[in-house]
Amino acid sequence: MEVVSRLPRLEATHLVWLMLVALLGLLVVYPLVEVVLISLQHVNAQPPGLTLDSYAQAFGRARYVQGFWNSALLGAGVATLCMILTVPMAWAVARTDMPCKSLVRAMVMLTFITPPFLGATSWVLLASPNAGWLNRLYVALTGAASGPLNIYSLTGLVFVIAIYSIPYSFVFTTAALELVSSEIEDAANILGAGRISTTLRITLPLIAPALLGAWIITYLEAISIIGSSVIIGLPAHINLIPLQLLEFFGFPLRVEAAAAYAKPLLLVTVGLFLLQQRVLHRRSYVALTGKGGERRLIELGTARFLALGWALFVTGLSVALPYVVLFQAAFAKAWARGFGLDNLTLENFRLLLLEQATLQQSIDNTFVYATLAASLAIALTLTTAYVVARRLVPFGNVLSVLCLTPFAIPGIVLAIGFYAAYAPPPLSLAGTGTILVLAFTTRFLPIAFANASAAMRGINPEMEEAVRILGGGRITVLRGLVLPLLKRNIVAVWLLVFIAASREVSSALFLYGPRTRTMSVMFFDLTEGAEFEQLAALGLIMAVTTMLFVALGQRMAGRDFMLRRD
Amino acid sequence: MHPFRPRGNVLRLVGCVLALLLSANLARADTQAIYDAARKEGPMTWYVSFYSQDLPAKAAAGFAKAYPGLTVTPVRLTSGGIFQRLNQDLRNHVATASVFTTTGIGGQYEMLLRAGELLQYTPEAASKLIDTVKPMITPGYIYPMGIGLMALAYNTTKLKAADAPTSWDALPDPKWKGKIAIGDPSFSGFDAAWDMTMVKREGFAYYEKLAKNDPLVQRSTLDSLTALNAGERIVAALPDTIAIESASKGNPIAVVYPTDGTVVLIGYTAILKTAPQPNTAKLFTEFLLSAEHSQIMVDSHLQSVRPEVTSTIAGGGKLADIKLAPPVSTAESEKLLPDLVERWRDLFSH
Repeated sequence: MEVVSRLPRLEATHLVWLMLVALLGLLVVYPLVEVVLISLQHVNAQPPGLTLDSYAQAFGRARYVQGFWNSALLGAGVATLCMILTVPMAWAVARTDMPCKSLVRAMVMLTFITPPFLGATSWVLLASPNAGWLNRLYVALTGAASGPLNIYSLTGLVFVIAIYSIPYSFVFTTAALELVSSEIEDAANILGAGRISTTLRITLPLIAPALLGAWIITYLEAISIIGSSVIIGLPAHINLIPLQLLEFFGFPLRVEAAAAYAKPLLLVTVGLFLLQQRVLHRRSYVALTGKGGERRLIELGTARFLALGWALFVTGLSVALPYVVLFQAAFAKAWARGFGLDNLTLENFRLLLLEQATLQQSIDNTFVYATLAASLAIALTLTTAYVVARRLVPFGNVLSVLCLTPFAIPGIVLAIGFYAAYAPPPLSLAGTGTILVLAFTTRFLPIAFANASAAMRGINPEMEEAVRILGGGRITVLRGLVLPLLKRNIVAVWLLVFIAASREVSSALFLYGPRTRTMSVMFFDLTEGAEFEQLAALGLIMAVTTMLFVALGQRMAGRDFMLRRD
Repeated sequence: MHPFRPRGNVLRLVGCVLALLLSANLARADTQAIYDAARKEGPMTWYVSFYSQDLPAKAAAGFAKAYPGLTVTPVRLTSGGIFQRLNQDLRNHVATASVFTTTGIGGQYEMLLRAGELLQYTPEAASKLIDTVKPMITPGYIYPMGIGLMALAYNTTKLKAADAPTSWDALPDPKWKGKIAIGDPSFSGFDAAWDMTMVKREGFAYYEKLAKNDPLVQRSTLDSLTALNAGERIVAALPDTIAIESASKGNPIAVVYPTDGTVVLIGYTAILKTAPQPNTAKLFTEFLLSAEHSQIMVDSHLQSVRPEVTSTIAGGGKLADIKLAPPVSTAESEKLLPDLVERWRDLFSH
């Protein structure tokens, strides 16, 4: 009797497991295997065969190895600074009566919509040692010989990457904080803990999985970011992993060495993932219990303006200042001439909108691909996160690792693997939109998965068991309980992936075809062959169109971006 | 005067004219056959790197006008980027592009030719190119289609013309410490050409001396232009084409052609053996070597490869007025560049 009733479920879950393994295999393992194969190929493929030459080449020079250490340091600096900037802001938004929360959320969203590449370019104009607007202002005000800021330094690079990494940590942290019940905090208060000590000793430790997840993702993102490394790392004379990879892809071309060079990143990711498991081992972070749980806002008194000041200061660095510079350039005849009516023009926009025949197509491509990629990523990661969290399948952790792996593969290397896997027959996807959609889906699986699994971890299985005890099947549990509970998360994750995909450069660079160029690729191309004024104008067009799509998405979903619960 | 002589001349002249007409007709008949075949091929993809972002679109438009019914879709990247993309296609047996047009720096065309990846075709227009670029032809395969110049540029609000450096040799002078912007040879073809020219002439020591002046090193030559415009640095090694373009918009930029030799960078074109549109590719190659295309280049301040189209330089002078450094052949760059890039990066990025 027992066996008969359990049998169908086992088969169904096995089917799901097989399907997930097949899909993840196709999206993650297959391209990865291709990258490994490339790294093992003879540099001059005559005769074809396997060799470790490329590994010797990839690590055979002090500078190459130095790139790894520099990147490791950079990643740690960025992730830590990002947490310092974000956590107080996220806490204030999620748990306190800080005013103007919508404004802060809007600023965080603008930060996210701003491609890091665009932000880094603006910050060069703001804080380059001689010509930076801020340095010039300082010199004008104090009469000093030179300004104090130098963006072309490790500190400068850490700063610029950190301020554009805020959105991920913000979403992770607020989402988790909003799930922590005030009752737990009340208990601490009753036992004599003050507000600050409650926050530090109860609230923050409760959201440790989210904080650690945010730290890891920020770290991995920072060590493989291309744009900022090129714009700031190169002039700062700091060799970094992405710079070294680009060098291998330049002349002389050493694709094999590039593929080999990317390998230790995989180890780093697996290592961080294991570390996370170890740190979180055997503790419970279940917050969404289904047993009531009131969430009250903490009254900050006058300190609430301090909190708002901090949030506006941080987002001012990532949004307000850079956009002032961009606006000036986008509407300038020659941006170096500074502000002034005689320097105003719409010519840059006219050139882009009317002369660049491909802009319209790029806009269409961008949003079609981003929509499809976001939807695919959601479907895949929610399913995976659910079956992993509920231990419905054996080797669930393998699925988790697969979902997180793409973060360890720099976009350009992922693209090489993708091209090798999907471009030739039998799939023959070279130059199609499909290859870009699949690549974007794969590349942003980690963001979607980390969010989905964090959300899943917050749902108490007891609630599902209650449904099951009352006779509901697994499907009823999903449809009637899990999906409604996760609705906000689903919308939020969808938008996260959508925006990330809409501004993706590094993997798209090697995969786009003559008719599948996206806006971000066009942006990257323009940095290297056109006028800065046009670049700024395109940056603004990108930001505005993305905003329109996000607003539309929010309207359709009837929910605010970034998990607002008030 | 011999009565028959003029008639003989006339006869000869008539004969010549007839022969010319006949050959022109034959050529036209041949071209017509290619044109007819090309019209059945559909849009052709063009991998191009030599010139800036908007030029490929202009060239494609010019081609569409010259050969109605044919379409070329450009994919433009850096020299390194476009070669990587082509290699990616070849490695995976994906035929996308038909024509490959780039600086060929680092021996790209030699590698392709050795691997048998180029299609043999002798453009009619090849015989009509200027004499200076004829030695750079690899008959039947690789043809020069344009010329770029790497010169000095400076910010006119920060530096008076009289104080601007006039030669490459002036740059290591300590008075330029913290004032120079340059590009990275592993990204930028123009900077790679400059580096090779200087290293051939003065050895790597030139850059070791230059490094002491702490130049601002960025990826592409356009980045140097940005740094110059902003006043972040006041002197840069820069392709004159982008400096002239920027100055014409009102930015405070001026060009100096160095007295010790402006660096010459040749753009080449070749047809790929796997070309999905070989006939369109042949006609497009003819177009790239035509006077019409040279005019498009000259309009964008690049240099012509056709005698009919006169090249100009910054300030409206002639190309012949300035001293040019001997160009480094792509075959030579294949030997020079790998080691140079390594040493250069060791010096500037660590």
